[in-house]
Amino acid sequence: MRTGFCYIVLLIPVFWLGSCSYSKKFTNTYYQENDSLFQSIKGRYKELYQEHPFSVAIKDKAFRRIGFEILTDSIKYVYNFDIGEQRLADTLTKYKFNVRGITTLLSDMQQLHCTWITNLDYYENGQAKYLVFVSIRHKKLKAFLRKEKYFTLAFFDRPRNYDIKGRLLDNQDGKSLQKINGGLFFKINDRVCYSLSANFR
Amino acid sequence: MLLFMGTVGSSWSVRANSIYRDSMNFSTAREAIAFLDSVKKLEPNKLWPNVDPDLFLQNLRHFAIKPLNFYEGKATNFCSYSALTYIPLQYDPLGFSKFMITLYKTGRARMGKVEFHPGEAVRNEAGLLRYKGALDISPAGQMWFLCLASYFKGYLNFFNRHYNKGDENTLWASTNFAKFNRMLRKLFYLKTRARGSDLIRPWIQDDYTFLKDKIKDHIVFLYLNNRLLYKKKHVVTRLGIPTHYVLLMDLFQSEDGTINIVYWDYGRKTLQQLDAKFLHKIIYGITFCQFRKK
Repeated sequence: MRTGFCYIVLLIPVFWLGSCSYSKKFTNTYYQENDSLFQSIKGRYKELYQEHPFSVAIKDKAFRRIGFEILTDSIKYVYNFDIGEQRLADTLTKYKFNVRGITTLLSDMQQLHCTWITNLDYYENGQAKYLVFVSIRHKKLKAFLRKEKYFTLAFFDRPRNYDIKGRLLDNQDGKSLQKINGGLFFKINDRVCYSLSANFR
Repeated sequence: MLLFMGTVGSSWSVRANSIYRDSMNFSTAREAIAFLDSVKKLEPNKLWPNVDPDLFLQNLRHFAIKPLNFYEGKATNFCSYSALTYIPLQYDPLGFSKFMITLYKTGRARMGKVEFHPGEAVRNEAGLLRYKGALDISPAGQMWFLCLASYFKGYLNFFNRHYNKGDENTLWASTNFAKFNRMLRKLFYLKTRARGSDLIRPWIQDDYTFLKDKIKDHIVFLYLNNRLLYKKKHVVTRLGIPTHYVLLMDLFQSEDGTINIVYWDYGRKTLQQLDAKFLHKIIYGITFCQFRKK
């Protein structure tokens, strides 16, 4: 009876430590392994966005169901499709999107387990600036006794400053920590940073 | 100005004019801009130490010209305040501009039955909110939201009644359904009716027909389960809780029976296609208002 109790007491911290460690392993390697594809997705998204602003969310576990948000000056249209569905191509054609470009982008997003891509605005010295925001859902980000997390990436156009702990700093004062979507971000390189978030958008 | 019912003594006479009778508008954007031009320049005010007066005036002009661009900010609990701001911006931009200028100059101003006199913590914070998107460059918007959140309290605010830094996205700024309706009744000269609650959906057989009927001659607000409307996680949500307020702007059915709703939030209109079952699932509250005739 007493031995069993000792085992339980010993196992609890082991499980706890195991549940904490998933994120560090994942974030260290996943971006580096897929660096070129991430950069390619970011570049193509920016080009397509310039032609016609949009955001995409992948809404299901099978990475098939998407929410496509078309942004115009006056209104945002939110449509739901399955990837490969004819309605998706018809809608893209109707709104004069580059159908081939979007289809390839969606396919690459599926490959990288991206659940959300958008162009986010932030403000520095009263001026609007933009970054590309990408979220990744991955089975390695699930762990025992832990809620699922999303690996979110922010791609800046210019090099950014970080503190000694690698946290993203506000360019305006160079001291305070900049938050994106309410979260703190950590350095991957001088233009890309990441966060682990409870939400993908 | 009538909209605020007593903001200024002359308000009552405005209701008799033809603008009100024809289109419910108490003032126009042009009148608001003319008023703001007459103000010319504001001096920095110690009451609002972090509000840039030039930017403040620029914000008010922008609100008058483009009311639908009014933005509640990212990661805040200001959606309810933003939704109801549609009423003054759309129907009485002059009244709203006068109210804001008075609030800036004196630190207190009256709207409807409410005398706003925000405390020091709120006055010091206005102009300092950051990382909220376009709200960062809108000290006027920050002033307005912080004043509303600090004045109106509901049961959700019970454990956090005083503003501390960062409270814009905590329970301090949250709005339960009764508080939302109370704000409408106290701020504006409206006949306000509501269906629904914070936890139980309204007992309406056909939401589409009900809303379609109300939107003809009412301003309609919806209290929604945002976890379903703006899906942010892949987990299946078992406990449905409404957390988001939007203004319903249009509603129509496609040939295949899909319902298209057009609503206003986050500084723009959104058209989203939903089926009837999903629409029923996300709606927890419906508030519909009409301007009072007398």
